[in-house]
Amino acid sequence: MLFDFNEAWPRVSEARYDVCVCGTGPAGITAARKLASYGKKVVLLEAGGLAFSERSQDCYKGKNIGNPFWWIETGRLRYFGGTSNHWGGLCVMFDPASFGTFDHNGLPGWPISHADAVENLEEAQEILDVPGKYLGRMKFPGFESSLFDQFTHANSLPTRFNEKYGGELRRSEQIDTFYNANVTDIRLSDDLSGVKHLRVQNYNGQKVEVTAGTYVVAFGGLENPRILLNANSQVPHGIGNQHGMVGRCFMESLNVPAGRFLITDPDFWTQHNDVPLVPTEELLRKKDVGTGVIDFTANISAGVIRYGGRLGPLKDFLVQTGCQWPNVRDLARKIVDFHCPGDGIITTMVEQEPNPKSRVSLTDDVDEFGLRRIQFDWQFTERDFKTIRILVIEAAKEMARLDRARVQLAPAVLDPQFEFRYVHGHGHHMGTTRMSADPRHGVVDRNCRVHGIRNLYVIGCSTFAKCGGRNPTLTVVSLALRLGHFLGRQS
Amino acid sequence: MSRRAFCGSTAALVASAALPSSSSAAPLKGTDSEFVIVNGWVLTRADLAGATRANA
Repeated sequence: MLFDFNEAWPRVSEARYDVCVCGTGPAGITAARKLASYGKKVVLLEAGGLAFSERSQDCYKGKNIGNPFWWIETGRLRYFGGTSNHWGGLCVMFDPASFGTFDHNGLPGWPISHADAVENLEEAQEILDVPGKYLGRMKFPGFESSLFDQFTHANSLPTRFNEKYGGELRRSEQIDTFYNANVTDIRLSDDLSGVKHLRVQNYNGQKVEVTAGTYVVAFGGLENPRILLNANSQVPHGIGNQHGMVGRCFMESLNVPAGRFLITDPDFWTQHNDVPLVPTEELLRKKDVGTGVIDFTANISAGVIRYGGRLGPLKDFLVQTGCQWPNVRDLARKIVDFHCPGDGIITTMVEQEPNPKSRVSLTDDVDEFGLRRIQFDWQFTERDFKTIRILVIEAAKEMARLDRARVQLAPAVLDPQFEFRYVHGHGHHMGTTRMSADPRHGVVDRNCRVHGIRNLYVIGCSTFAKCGGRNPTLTVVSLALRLGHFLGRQS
Repeated sequence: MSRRAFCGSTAALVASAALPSSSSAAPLKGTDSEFVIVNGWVLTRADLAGATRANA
């Protein structure tokens, strides 16, 4: 059933819920549905309404004190369906290599195996409307390299979770969904070992306690640490933060303008247009760097290479005008028909290593519900840039060796004395409640349970121990299913 | 000249334009000597030889 918490708020106290799931993005809705399939009675809370509102979105405002980052407010959406409402739809699974032995900045990698992460992959693909496709990598036809494979992904519709599952949730007898329900505090039992209830408030100022046996926080990569840090009335530094790890190790998929290229094999490029390369394990092992995608995008329109870079506009002008004038037609045609090299640009989606200095903390400014806002400090490491440099240079060499293109590297790729001036993300907010076997290295355990709290779980990108240099949504949904199965099987 | 043949010489043209004198070509640091860097371009030794011939 679906309820507006602004009006139906007393109802939430009338039922006894097995599980309370907070957040209606891909992780939250996926977990709630899976739990319901096991017969669990679920209450699902959404802070925003059924559609976008400035008032709800205002709660996402924060302060940035680190590297330029413009995703704090605009990179996520605070209403029913969450950030799936503007998701781009790229689906790919993390590489097995991302789950291997790893230790940087004193932090280990995933405490689960790749097999654990993909055990629900088929079901996750169904949810995201990309069933039956092979996702990850394959040998690149026409690009015979032992160092790079072709990055293969699927394009979801994209799946909008409010549109796809809104009707099902409205009809569900197992899931009570309340929108306009803002979680303002997580209250622990007297012995601090478990969650006793949540404090939830609507937009009219009415407050109520929501009680369940188990609680799952699925607010997203920036809000998950925010609610844990704000829940500090019983534990001074916030829930799960006994080792100061909540909010730390924020990671993005790094996107830099890495250079440009000239096409030397037009047949190859008219076949492929976009050439996304992922390093093989051989290259990663040889160079000891992180992974990611190096994307060569040719300037091709409707299957035709747009030749000449800055000559392109001139040629377009001549086609449209000069060729119509009899006295200049021959000269104009010669210029237009002269094939300058085609060109393209190189961008990246490269993983950051977990770095405790890259973090989400809190400002003293509060939103309308009294929750302190985010203070955001995005930081990079030398290894992050080393990964970009090595992968781009090796890809450029392979392009030349195979005579597919010649690459001109951006100065910062070639020479560490130059700074990368434009480092973007891809809207992937990861690592802020990272998964770890040891509480000193993270916030949640291998089953996404907050260390030290018996009935509190966190799901979403924030649990990623490594970010993998891949689009994360498919992995998020796969891991949400894993938690749903885990909790569903518990009596 | 066929399209493929023309584009096959593109790398030499690039090298020629980027490199007034082949003496300023720098080997790619930390790599084998198969590749050279010229004004940021990652070129093969064969590209460089083609450029030298074109400039002769």
